[in-house]
Amino acid sequence: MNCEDFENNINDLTREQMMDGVVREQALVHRDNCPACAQRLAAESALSFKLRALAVVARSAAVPPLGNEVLAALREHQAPMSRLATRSRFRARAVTAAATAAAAALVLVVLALGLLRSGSPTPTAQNPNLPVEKGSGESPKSVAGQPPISPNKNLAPGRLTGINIKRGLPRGAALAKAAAGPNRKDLVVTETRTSVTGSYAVEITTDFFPVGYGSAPSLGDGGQLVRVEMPRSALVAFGLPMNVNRYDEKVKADVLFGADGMAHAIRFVQ
Amino acid sequence: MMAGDEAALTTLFRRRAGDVYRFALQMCGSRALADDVTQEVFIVLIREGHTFDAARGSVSAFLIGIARNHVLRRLRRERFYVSMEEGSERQNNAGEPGSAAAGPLDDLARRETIESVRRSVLALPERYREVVVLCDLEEVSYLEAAEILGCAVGTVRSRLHRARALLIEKLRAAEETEAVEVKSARCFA
Repeated sequence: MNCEDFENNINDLTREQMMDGVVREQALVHRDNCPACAQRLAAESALSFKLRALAVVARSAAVPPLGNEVLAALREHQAPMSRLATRSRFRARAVTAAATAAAAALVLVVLALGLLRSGSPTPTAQNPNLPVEKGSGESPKSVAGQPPISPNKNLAPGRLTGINIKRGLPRGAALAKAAAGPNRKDLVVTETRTSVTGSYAVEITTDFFPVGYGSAPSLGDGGQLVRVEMPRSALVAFGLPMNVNRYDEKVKADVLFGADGMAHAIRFVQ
Repeated sequence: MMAGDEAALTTLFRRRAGDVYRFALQMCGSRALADDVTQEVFIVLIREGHTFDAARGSVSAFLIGIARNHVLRRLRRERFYVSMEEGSERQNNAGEPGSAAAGPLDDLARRETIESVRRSVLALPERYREVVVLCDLEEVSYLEAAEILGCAVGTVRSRLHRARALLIEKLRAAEETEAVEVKSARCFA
């Protein structure tokens, strides 16, 4: 090893760095043979010693505490992040609420469609005080000993409209059928609908059965259709089956009064 | 910590602030400036911590790299001003505990030597000073020093070699000056 090579490795030698063992041996041999390089190595070693002493003193220096500026910067940095998190949380909640509302609306629509398809009666259809189709001012008469059911005069005409005759068989045909006698073959269950200011009600009615042995009502006689409630046993009187478990319940019926004030026909409503 | 956890910041500060502060103090020689730089480094870490890439180096190297930039900027800005802390630095150093075995004269000589080395390091050009501070005072490896300084390992080695040679010259010159001053003092006595 010459002086130049020694100079190249003097730092690693004095700073006790990892170096090749052979190179280290050669450098130490060169130091022993070259007084200038030995002096150079001594100066470097002295410098390393002094620097180490300075490092020790520096390490004992007190480190300043965490400043308020840093904490303020942290909170300043934290605020926009929390705002972003709040915004994203709000957006997620809004999306969830919108999805829930949409699902609820869908369920309501499906339920409404199901109700329409099944034709189940609505509370409006079960209202016993259905109005007279034609308001004539005459008091309704009872059928089979039942008290007459007065129409609800508080309702405006046309506001609550029984359209069973319109939706079911035509009125003339119904009257003609009623006049034809109690024929079981002619028993037709008709679906009628009652609308109450936009609401939609469905009624299921039988066909008209003639009452008594009177003359058949003619089409030009006019008349009234009165909703009444009758004992369920009245179904048997007209040849209809009756559920014995519900014998104590009333059954709704529409009684067709002729111009002479006599009941000419009746139909049952579910 | 990037999520704003104050406890995490405090923990990181406790672990790494010493390295940053010592580096800044050795580079600029001013406690106040080193304190400012340390706080600034952590403020930068909070704001731009997302730029840290673990593949490019350790957290310590990242922090010291920020500290280096701040120190150099502050030194260039304030090089026209004279520090008034020199006297207080000496007073502070005088208060540091010496070795118990050494006598008062040895302790005084040791402190003078350390102060002389400190001044010599501070008198080095910046590019040599930083490698001495990193490799000799902070005992950072060549590789990590290269990451901090953004240069090759060979560059670090060559700069360190040159810096140490400069330091030896400066210390020798300082010793000769002190010897002359002592001789002249004897003449006047």
